Amino acid sequence: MSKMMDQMDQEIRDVSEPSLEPTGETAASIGLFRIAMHSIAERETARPVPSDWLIPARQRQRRAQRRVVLAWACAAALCVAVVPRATHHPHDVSHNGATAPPTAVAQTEESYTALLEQVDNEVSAPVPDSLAPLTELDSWNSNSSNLSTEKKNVIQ
Amino acid sequence: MGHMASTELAPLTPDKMVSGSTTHEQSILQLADFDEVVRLYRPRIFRFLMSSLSDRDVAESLTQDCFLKAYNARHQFRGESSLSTWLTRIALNLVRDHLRSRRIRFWQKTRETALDLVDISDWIPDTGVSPETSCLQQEKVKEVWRAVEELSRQQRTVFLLRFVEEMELAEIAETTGMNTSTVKSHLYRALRVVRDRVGGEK
Repeated sequence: MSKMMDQMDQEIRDVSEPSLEPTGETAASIGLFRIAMHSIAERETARPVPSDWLIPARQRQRRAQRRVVLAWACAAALCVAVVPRATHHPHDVSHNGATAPPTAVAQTEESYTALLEQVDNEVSAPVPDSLAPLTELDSWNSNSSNLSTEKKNVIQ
Repeated sequence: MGHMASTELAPLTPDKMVSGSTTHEQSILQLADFDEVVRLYRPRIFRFLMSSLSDRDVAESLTQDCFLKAYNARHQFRGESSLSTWLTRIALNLVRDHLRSRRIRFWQKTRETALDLVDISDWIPDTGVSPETSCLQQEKVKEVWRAVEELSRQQRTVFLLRFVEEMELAEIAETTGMNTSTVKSHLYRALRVVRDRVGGEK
């Protein structure tokens, strides 16, 4: 295929300009075709050009310009809407727990559990006597009152 | 500027240059009177657009666009090419843009005002030939038109500029932005298709 094209290109390079002119039947047909095209064009443009002839073209031009402006405005609005989100995305994640990834949530839960365990351990640890719960004080009060009545009885 | 819309069968010799008689200064001066430019060149631009797009309404709209663009850019015209070449180049760019947008708007109904084969073959002036000859002529025009419709966009442009607008190869190259050998190549292939269709000589 490419060999054929090369051969044709070579033929074209070899041909002189006069051989690019049709002759005989082809020339006559092309001539008639030209006459027909000229006749149609003459008929269609025979009327004088009205003064508002270019107004539709102006309107089309304005519409095209408006479309271009609108397209650029839409593109700019899209950029304004999308670019800040893309650039501020990591910052938002660090401040917004709701959008945190699952691994971060799991880590937070583990830390809470550890903290609760630590609190439990510390609460259940043995306390020194001086910090004993006040419930023992009641018993101590009752003991001491018993002792005082016994002393009174002994004196009497 | 007596080159507009000649309906006589002009010989296909290269010395039929449309802009040959106009100097650059004349072109610039001519552009100052834009109404005159429209009057002179409108049929030619319309014809090129109509034959390129096969649609009268689109050709009329694009002719308006072409002259509006030319009017807006008239201060940029330096007279380096002829006025007709400059206007044809604008028209050619409009054809490209239109075909591109038509490809995008492929669902849109088009070609309602398309120039069909009957239209074009009916427009051969009556030169007093016999009805048989007239029928034969119409058939020949139809065959050429069918062949032109088969051509690629570039082949079609080169063919129309050469054989309908009767432009020189160098001017076609200047208008289309191709080099002369590319123009020759497209013209050679286009002629082959037309010859095959018309059934003429090799």
